[in-house]
Amino acid sequence: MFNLFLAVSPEIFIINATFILLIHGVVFSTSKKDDYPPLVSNVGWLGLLSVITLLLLAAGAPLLTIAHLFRNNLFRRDNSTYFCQILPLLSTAGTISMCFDSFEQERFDASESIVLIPLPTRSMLLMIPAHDSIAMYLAIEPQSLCFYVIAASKRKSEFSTEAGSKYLILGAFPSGILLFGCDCSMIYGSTGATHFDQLAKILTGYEITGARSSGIFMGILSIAVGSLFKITAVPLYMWAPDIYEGSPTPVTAFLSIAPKISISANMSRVSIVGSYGGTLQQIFFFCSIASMILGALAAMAQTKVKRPLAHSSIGHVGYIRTGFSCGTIEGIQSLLIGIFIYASMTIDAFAIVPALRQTRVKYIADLGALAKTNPISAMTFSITMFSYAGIPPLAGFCSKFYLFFAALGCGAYFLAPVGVVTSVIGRFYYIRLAKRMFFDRPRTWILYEPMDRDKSLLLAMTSSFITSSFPYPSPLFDLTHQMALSSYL
Amino acid sequence: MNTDITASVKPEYPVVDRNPPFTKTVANFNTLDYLRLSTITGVSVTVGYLSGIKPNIRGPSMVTGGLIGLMGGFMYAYQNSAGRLMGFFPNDAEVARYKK
Repeated sequence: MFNLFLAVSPEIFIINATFILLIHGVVFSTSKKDDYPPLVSNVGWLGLLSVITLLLLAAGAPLLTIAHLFRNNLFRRDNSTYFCQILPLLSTAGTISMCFDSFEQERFDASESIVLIPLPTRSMLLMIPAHDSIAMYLAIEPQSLCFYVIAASKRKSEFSTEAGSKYLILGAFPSGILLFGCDCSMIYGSTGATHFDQLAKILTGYEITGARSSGIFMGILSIAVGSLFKITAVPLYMWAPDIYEGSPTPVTAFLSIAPKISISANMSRVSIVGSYGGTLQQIFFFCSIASMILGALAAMAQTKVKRPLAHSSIGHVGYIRTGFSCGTIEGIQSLLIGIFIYASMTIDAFAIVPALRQTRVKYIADLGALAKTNPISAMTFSITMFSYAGIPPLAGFCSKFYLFFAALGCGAYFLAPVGVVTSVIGRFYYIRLAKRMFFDRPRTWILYEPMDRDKSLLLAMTSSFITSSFPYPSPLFDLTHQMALSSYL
Repeated sequence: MNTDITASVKPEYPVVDRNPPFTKTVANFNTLDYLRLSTITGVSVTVGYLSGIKPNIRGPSMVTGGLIGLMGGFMYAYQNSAGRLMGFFPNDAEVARYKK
């Protein structure tokens, strides 16, 4: 039993650390002797410490597989999972650091919601290297359950409660479809296998004809539907804007980034190793195009600050899916580059939004004259928006460049032009935000408070990455190339 | 129950033990491992203390931070020690000790 300790030590650590934090938060926040102290920053700092220690453990772990029970490798850590595990941990650390000041400003004293942010990272660490469909499902579900709870963590807000309820009900359906498709009914019933290596041997060159293959087709479709819902891809995106709007802003940032990374990494493994073929590729091509178009058009009519970012997230899922749809090493590499840059931009954008909301900025119209009152914030927000829009020489352009080139390289000559056109259309609402900040007068003049130190540091790091990655992309390019190669080997 | 662990990547250094048991790995802790453990624990205790100043729970916060740090530091030291035995990290001392 102790042989497993090494292979899953990061997961064991984070589970125990969150339990210790939860007990600490519950015991001392309800302590009459200490006068019921608010523990958001205390638990937040300890949570951040746990995530940084987890990062150290995950980064330093030897690359191992675990043979367990029936001599199947249920989890396989290789170079690609290594990178894909580091990224959600960085996102979690960024999210926690956003929470301190924003939760205090909103008088949101729920230290347990900060504990619930590192908890799904444990599931992500298990989901990313999962090499069996049952292991994959068992890792997805705890992650989803934590998301439902943290979306509703702001108990006094009806929007947050609605967001959590909606997420729970709508999230249960794709979980059921995913289970129906891959684990219990279709794929297992048709092939007798749940392990990805076995599925690869059965499905390679398999033509979908006949009764048995219709079960496989339904299974693959169910896996795709279940996964696409969880990453807010069109046509399964409708829950996202309401839930992103209702959840607390740091939670929205976390929901925008973390599940997309883990599920994209897992889907890469499922598709490349297990069951890739024309069926899945066509599904993802359609979803990529639809997501890009909807992301570009739907955000135009939005008037609040958070909702365009939610639609932008849907659009970026489409761009990232482009790389995935290709099914080539270059496609996977561009997917990884896209995910990394998207995570940085989203952390940057959502770190500024809570700082603005402290001064009751909720609508886009309230951003007027931000450049006069807080020029650094305005400049940073504008850089992030331009990066989202794909304007060179920022990181967003770098990401779309590689994605569209990968699409052209695999012969998807329709996908790339659609991506370019939707990028151009989408620039409207990104540049509109910058125009509001620099050229418009606000509806009511608001005194902007200085940003806290933690958010400032986070913004400095992400902004410097966004501005420096295009002139010097080699480290990211080499790293992602290595990760993509290991997916195929 | 088969709990065999195999490496995804070929080890760069000589393999002393492909699948070292818990007791052997802990016994193989060197000075650097103990330094890692104590540093992570020390930093965690400090973070716990500093974060506990505002809500006025310095002591309990230090204990919580210490527990987290001790656990994390031990696991980090364990990873490094096992990595050396498995041949992933430089292991001249282990080779000299176990492969005389």
